[in-house]
Amino acid sequence: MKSSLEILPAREATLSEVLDRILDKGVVISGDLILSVADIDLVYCGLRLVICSVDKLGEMTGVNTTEPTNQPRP
Amino acid sequence: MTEPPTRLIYLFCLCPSEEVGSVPAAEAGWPVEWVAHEGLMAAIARIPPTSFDVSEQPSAQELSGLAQKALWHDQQIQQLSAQGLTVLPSRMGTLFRSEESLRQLLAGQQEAFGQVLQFLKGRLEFGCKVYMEEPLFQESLQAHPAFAPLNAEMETASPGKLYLLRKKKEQEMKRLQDQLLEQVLQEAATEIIGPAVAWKQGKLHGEQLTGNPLPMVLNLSLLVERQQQAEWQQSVEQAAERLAAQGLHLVLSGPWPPYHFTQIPEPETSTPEA
Repeated sequence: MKSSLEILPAREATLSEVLDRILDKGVVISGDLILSVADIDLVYCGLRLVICSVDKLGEMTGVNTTEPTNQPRP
Repeated sequence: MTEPPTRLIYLFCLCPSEEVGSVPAAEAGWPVEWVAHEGLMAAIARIPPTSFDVSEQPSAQELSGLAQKALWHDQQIQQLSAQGLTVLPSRMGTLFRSEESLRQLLAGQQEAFGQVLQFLKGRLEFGCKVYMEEPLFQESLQAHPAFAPLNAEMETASPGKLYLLRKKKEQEMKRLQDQLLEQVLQEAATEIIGPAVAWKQGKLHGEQLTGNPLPMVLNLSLLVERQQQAEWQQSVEQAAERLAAQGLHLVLSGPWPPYHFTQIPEPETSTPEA
């Protein structure tokens, strides 16, 4: 008999599922940070992405985003 | 004036030193670098300082870049968790100027982080979302005990009266639908939460986010003992069976790193997200 329960392994989760899990979640660590404050409407998902913050990012804003060096996916 | 650093330290999560150390580095194939401080290991990457910069009005390209970083953040933590490590995820976008500043932070909060890691040991996060097929749910309400007197009356009613009773029943169903849905979901949630160590109720998202045309009616995150996973999943399957009979579709996702449980909850504080 087909189960009524749909099971979605985390490694196969969609972007929206990942965003729902991680945005605004995780331990907030404050300290001597570089901080990046971004208060952004992700247009395709309607969620607000609040990236961790502190001081000094003012001098670093407005520059194009570059990819992290350790990209797991090509 | 101090020169800005050429690389920042991006923090994914913290792990207990004894767990990281127990796997030989060559075999472990860790996807991250480690910064050690006393009993803690911080999983990090070194990234360009501009990696998380975005304009005030971010372009589609910038948003897409951020989405990729969200996946990157999740994937590294998932890989560590999948290798059996206890992980305490940090919030996406947590950056440090130097290893020294990270170590200072760890030194200041070492005990608190250690306690949360101890709380998370051997536990996994799962997500449970319920979507409603409204016509099927309404159909399932036809036989609800709340409508028994009306149903009985309809069985013996003349055609004219039957029409009026049908209209009355439609109105009653509309009036009671939300209340009955809440009742059904509450019962299901009690069954799903069952032996979970902690749980949180999340926001309900629309089709734009979920890609599912059916409305989301329940969004739970649960922290479950790894050893009780099979037993717990069985009770979730039973709840799913019951919900399916009422046009409610349950989707279970996981196991996830414990993104929703980075603080030790008070026994009665498993409440909706702020």
